Amino acid sequence: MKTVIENVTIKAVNSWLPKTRIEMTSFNSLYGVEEVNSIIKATGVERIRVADNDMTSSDMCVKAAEALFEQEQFDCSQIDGLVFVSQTTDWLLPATSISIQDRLGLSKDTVCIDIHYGCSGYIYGIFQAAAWIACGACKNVLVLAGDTTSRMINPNDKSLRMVFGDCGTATIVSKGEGKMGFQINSDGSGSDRLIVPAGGFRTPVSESTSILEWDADKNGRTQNDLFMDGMAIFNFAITKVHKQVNALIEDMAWNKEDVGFYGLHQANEFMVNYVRKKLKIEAELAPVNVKNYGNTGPATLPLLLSDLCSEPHQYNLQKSILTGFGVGLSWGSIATDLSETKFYSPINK
Amino acid sequence: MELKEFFENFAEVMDLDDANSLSENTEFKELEEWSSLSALGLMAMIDEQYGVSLTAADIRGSKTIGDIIEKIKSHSNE
Repeated sequence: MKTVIENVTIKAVNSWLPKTRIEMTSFNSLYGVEEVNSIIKATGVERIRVADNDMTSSDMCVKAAEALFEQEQFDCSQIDGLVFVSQTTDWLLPATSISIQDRLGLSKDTVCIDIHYGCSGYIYGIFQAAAWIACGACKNVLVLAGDTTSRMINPNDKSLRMVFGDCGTATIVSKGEGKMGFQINSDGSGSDRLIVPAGGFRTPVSESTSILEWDADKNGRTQNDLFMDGMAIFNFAITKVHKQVNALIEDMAWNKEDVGFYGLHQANEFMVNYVRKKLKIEAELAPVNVKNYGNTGPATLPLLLSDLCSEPHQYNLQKSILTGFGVGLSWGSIATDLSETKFYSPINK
Repeated sequence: MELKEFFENFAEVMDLDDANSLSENTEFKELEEWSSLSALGLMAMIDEQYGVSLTAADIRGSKTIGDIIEKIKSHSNE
């Protein structure tokens, strides 16, 4: 899928980080110093944030949204669309976005939807918002993206435990002068490469799905936990993402030299840098901020923007690329002007 | 493909001191230094140096360094 949507703009972005920090070195006694160091060296993740047990993804996103309305002096009654991007929703039903309408005191004229995607989810959220605005249904759409991925990981799975963190974010997308190019691709043949196998209706949680099993790298997990085939995901990322981004830049009739910012999904340092190399662009144009937060799933892109673009920065955001890739398998990119967008530093940074 | 150069690249990925210990018959997954992280490093090195993106199945289906070399050759001919 590819399209260009006119007269939409990303107005403002912020993020909310849980206060609890987990230092990767705290795993030294559990996994061994050498193992921990080699994982940190490869992933670039030194610490993550994890949400308290009584806090859900929607709680973090609601906090981000409340702060954003205040920071922007934005009258929340002007919101007429709400998108909640998360794989860690509050309930099986109803959709969490509906409850957020009430919790944020939004108008009952608001259209609400949950989008059940991970690392490419922010792109889906912005696309949904832009589509609602383009068809005349909405003027201001609140896009919330967040996950408590840490809670889907088995404590014995060091490969994931040392990479994924929690975060909630809020973005306001409004009718405006801007233009957004989108390209989204899907390859469901890889759906079992990044998956929580049990807990849905195909394989409900049972005694047999709760048996701890160990893989060749001595990572333990049950069928109820998140599983990632690192090799398959890496192969996917290095073969698909740069092609999509290059195609999008071409479709926008942009000169690649004019692109001043590449917001790449912050999977881990190794992956971001490798995708960046495939794009043949300078490191300065594609920043990495996984060191303090890890991979926060659908929140990495708004967190990256809020973290690095809220202070005076070196990036020319007039021609910006945002790209998300992962679970699905799914990959999506946006080309737009972010130079007028307001970014607010992560709360609890 | 220069075999000697491939062994050197392989040794670098694995952080091995001596590439001379490697041969086509080396069962690389039996090396003490092998891990899932080195698998990613290997995929990256082969992509970078030989322009071939090996799949997870290629790595899983390989026992020796020679098997990896065969996989690279077969992808190069595609």
